[in-house]
Amino acid sequence: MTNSPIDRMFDPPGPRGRRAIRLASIVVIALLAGLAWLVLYRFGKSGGLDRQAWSIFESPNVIKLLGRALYATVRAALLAGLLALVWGTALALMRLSRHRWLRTAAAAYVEVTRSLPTLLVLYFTILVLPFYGLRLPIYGQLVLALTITNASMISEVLRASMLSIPAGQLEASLSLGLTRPRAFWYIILPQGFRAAMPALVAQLVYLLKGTTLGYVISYEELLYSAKLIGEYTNFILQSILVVTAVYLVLNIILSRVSIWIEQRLSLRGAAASSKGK
Amino acid sequence: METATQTAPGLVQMRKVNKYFGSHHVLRDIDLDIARGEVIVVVGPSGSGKSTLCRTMNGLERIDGGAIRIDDQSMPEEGRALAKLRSEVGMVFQQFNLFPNKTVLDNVTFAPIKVRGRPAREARAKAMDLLERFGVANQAGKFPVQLSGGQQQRVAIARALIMEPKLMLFDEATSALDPEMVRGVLEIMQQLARDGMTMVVVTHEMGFAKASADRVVFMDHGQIIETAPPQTFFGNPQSERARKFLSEVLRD
Repeated sequence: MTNSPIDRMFDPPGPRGRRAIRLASIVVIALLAGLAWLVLYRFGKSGGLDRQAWSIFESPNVIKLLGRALYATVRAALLAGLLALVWGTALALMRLSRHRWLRTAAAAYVEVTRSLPTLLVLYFTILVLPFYGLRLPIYGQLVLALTITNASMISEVLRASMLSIPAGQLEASLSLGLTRPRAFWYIILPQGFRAAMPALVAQLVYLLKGTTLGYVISYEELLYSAKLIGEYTNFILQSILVVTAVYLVLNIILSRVSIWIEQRLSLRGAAASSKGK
Repeated sequence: METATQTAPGLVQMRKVNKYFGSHHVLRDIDLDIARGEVIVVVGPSGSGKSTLCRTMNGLERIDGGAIRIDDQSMPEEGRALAKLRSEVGMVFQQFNLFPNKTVLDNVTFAPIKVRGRPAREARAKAMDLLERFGVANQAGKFPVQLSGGQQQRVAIARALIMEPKLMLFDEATSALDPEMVRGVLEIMQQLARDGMTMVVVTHEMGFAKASADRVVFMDHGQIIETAPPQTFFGNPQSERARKFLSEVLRD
């Protein structure tokens, strides 16, 4: 227990500290329990917990609708996540280029797109692109908007992490005869990705949640479908609670996957050491 | 000896080399010729420009004036030509600079495979030979963090040597090592010197200079003050600054 990084940040509490911590814990738990009871009590009193209110989720049609919506959400998040990672990496490399015009252009692009709300970009893809004769399906519009805003964030995260790699890594790569672009590709970028993993996952979670903006363009993702079910059955609160749980599960899966990847990256070293001995 | 190197061009020729960091004049009119197979040990107080001198020889530092020729070719300024030259000049750093996300073996085979396009099997065999020679073959599957400093530096030397460089640069290669690790690395460097490798060694290890240098170059304030064979330099230094430097480093 004392090995957790949080414990190592502080002095171990003394007897007075331990008493204070115990007291605070009891108060907080009591408050939270009270709050939970209040919420459930009010909700149940108005019939929110009745068997009938939840039975709609036994209907095959509703399940099918939710399944399709889940697929639509995941599909948009996956493609946008992939494109944002690729485009974000490209932007980060451009911003670290030695060519000044490339650096400046990428910086200007990132500064602008980074400050735009995704909703605004979405309106842009709906309203402005058709004006120029580019008509994307709504799936494409959503993916494009999410890619544009998230790629800029990802590029900033990656740029910062690559700048944090010690200069000796680049010098060693160059002195082995790598050209600068290849040194970045083979040595600096992989290390940058590894250092940026937690921030990248946070950004991907953010992107996943951003798919709810599909609601505005009638892209039938989870939130849109929840509203549909709610309007159809009059159990709007219940259907929103169900998709809340789905989002929670999706994000837990995403963070589990990232923890697994991080562990694999560091385990490679540990496994190799036991093999070498 | 000086005349001999002039008729048969040396491996490295530096003429009137100047370098500034901002307004700080770090290299002043450096003239230096290094013959094939020669071992040059560069010594001097910290901040005297030794490392910078070393780093100009593979273009890690660009010079602001003068000329550097390596193997009768002027130092390329950029691009593939510069990369090619660097692939033929090995460099060993104070901080090892091994790639932390690659195994020891992959660190060593990386350049032959990616830079020279050699088959992986050939590169691995050659790498294992070198690791064997330096006593770290049993570490081949580990990652650099799992090795001691001395082992890491030996891997770094193998990583440079596998490219069969015509010149090896050692930039304070033992300065970051724990005292008990220094000897193993110095022994490898001495072996290389005996095998006829052309070497430029920036170091504080006067023992190495005495044992292995063909010539000692003494620098101070960005200038080469004195160049002499080790017996002469340590036995009878010509300049006041060299005498003062030696009295300080040899005190203990």
